[in-house]
Amino acid sequence: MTAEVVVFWVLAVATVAGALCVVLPPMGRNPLHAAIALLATFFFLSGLFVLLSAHLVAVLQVLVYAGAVMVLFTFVVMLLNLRRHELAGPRPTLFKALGAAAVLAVTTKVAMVVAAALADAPAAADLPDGFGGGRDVAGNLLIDYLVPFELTSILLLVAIVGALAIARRTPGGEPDRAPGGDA
Amino acid sequence: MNDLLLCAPILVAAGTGILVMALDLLSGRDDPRKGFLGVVTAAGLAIAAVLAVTLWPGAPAFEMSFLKGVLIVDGFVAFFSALVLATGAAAALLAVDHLPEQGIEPGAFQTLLAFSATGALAFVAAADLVTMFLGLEVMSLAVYALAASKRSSGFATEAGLKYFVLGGLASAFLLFGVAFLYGATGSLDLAGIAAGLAGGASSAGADRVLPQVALVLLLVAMGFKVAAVPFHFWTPDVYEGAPTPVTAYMAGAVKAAGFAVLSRLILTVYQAPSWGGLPLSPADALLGLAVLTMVVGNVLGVVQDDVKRILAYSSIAHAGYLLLGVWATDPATRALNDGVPFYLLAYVAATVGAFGVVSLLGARGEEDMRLPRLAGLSKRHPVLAAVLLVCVLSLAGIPPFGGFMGKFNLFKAVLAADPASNVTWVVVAVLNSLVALYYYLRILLYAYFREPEVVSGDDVAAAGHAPAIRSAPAWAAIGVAALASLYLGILPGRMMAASGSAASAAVVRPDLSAALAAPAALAPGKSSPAPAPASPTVSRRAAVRDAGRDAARDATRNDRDAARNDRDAAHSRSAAPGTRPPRPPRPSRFAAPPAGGGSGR
Amino acid sequence: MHVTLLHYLVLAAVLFVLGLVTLATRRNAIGVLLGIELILNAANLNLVAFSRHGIGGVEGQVFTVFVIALAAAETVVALAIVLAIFHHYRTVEVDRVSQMKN
Repeated sequence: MTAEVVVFWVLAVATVAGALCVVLPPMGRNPLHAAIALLATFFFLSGLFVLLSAHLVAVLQVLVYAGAVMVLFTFVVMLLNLRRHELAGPRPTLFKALGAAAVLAVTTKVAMVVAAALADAPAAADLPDGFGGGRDVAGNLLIDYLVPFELTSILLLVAIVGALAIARRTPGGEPDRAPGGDA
Repeated sequence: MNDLLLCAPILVAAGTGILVMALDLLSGRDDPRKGFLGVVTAAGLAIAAVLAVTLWPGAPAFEMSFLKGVLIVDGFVAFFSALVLATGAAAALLAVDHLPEQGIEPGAFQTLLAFSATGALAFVAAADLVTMFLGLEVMSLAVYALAASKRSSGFATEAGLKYFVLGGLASAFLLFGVAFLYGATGSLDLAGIAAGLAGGASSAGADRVLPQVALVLLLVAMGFKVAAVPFHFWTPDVYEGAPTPVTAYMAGAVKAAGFAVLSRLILTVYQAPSWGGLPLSPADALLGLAVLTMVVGNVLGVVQDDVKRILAYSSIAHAGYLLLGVWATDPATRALNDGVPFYLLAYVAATVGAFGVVSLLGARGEEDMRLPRLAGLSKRHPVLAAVLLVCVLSLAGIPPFGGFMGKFNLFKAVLAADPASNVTWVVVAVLNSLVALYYYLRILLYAYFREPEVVSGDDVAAAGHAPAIRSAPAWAAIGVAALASLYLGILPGRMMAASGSAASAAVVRPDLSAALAAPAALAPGKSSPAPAPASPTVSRRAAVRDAGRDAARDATRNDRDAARNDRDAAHSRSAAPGTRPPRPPRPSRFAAPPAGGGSGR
Repeated sequence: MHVTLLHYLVLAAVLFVLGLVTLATRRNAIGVLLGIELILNAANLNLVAFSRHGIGGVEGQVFTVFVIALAAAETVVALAIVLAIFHHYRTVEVDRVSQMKN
């Protein structure tokens, strides 16, 4: 039992626990709580990234997810001021239960096959210094993957323009009706 | 310089998006002449298409290292890029007068359309999975927004949500599959993955598990994108709810790009005829999807009574025929069979034309297009009805239109692949086409032989007296689509030849690309798919890794300049299959804090 | 005892399934988006694990950086759609948001 193993198990259990909180009713019923649980999951996940020597990815995970994505989520949830009854959780039906069971069974099976196939994987090799650090990743990112990097800039542009196109309210004309509600 | 010239189509497409955005900002908010934005978009995309067709077929490989590893341009890419761009241009033209009618802002719409086409180009031209994934996302994200861009309609917003959720799920599946391919081969570029899997295919057991799981995930993801059954259920709702020009773009460009990448990815990575030696072979999976897609698409199409939904199911059914084409690889070359690109071309022309007619008929603020609204169309708008006739008959596969030549060639090619055993599937496909006749003819029946029923005062407009939008750009677009359908049916020769040369370039041959891409010095284990050693997976990987690591350690001992050189060389992306390039030492500030200051804050 | 690739792959598979379950059981749009985020992160974990323990190099991590950027972009568009949905229907429940005939 090395320190790595202990840390891994602590983080892994915490990650799964966080993810379970996102799914299961007590917290999952409320989007705000679910979002916070997911945030915790992402924190633990970034710990795992550190364990995997992916330091830059770990930092970005915290910065982007915690700093941007989840803040956006909580912002929207609070902006919409969703009332509790609107957040009524899943109404489990037999069909859904069967579906979940099927997914679970298939995945377990796949996981077992993969596990069997990889069971004799060796312990991790030593890595060169700086693996997964800013310099290492940036070298790849900005030299080998320059084109995808530029594509990302278009992606962000698309996100901004798209969000504006969808959500911006026109000065006078936005109908505020709620046809679905009373239909 | 040469490299930049080769990038021109992508740059022009992206530039069009930026230009349109700028023009939109410069012109006033409620400028009635905003229609010109659509014309600009269409012109830009058309120029990009022309550039793609002239520059890309037979182009030399990229020389610059940052392009070589991530983009491929060849006849295959040129064909599909031109198709995608032309569809984008048509959608932009259709939108010019459709948008004001529906209360959609043209600026953002046309910008997103241009960017979406840019993403589709990168998606189709990608040589590695990172570019492919990002291209897909740029394309899809823009289309999600386009589908939801009609703010006044809950319908459209709902379509956007549905498309987003399922599209996002598909992307996540694709990413998962890509991760497994990467895990199995240690490579992210198509050629490297193909070489890695080819090396592993000879060995038994463990090596196949990751590619197998990846295959399933990739097929699910691509199945969503091209609307194959059983991943099709979003299609009718989204096609119906989205603004009609967007629907035309989704049914044409997104599907064409999806098929281009589906065939390139599957045929390159899992090479026929061995198909990577997987238990569930890609061939079986493709065939299953194909048959299911044809049958379900056509059967459900029969019971619809909304034109947009009928065309949605028709597009599902066509995906089935196309999947059959992808499945039946060319027997001689094991490349894509040469019926597929032509079929897609004919399908896209006809579909865009048909949706174009629907978009012209959409009355102010609503796009509901139930069959009775077509009644009397031949009297009110004879030309529009004629265009609809051409396009629908082409979709149905009636001579002398493009769809017929497409079907004929595709089925012929499928038969040629294996005359004895493929007969069954061709018969199934032909029977399906007969079923499809029913709903296609139903559309024409309403357009030509039904008089509009006048039920009540309110319904008069709905029942067919609503005028079609007068729109020169849109007329140009549907005119070209109808003429293309005719041209493809009567003089298919040229396009057939183009289709053949595109198909023959569909598979990225690993040996060739690897030889081209890998600097000799950097390929220590230049793993010619050597017969794997006794304990295949682990030892092969371990050996490769050890080789890489030792090389790295040796390099560490060199002095720094040498290491720098090494590093530059390493960045010219070793594509040596399945090899971890020797990791050059980075003067590591992270690991050596005393060096001071540099550690990232 | 070591932490091997296998550990991470199984963990990622668990997250993947939990993401799918979230998607399948959540009725409101926000919950569905959370499910997609979870799946993307499971894939990220896979990529990083392969990059560390597999035969891949640092490319896996580079891919992960792209995926993180992508997730942010996707979230922006998704939440914009959710806002628009809310304006129309005064709810974000997927079930109640259905005019579509089917």
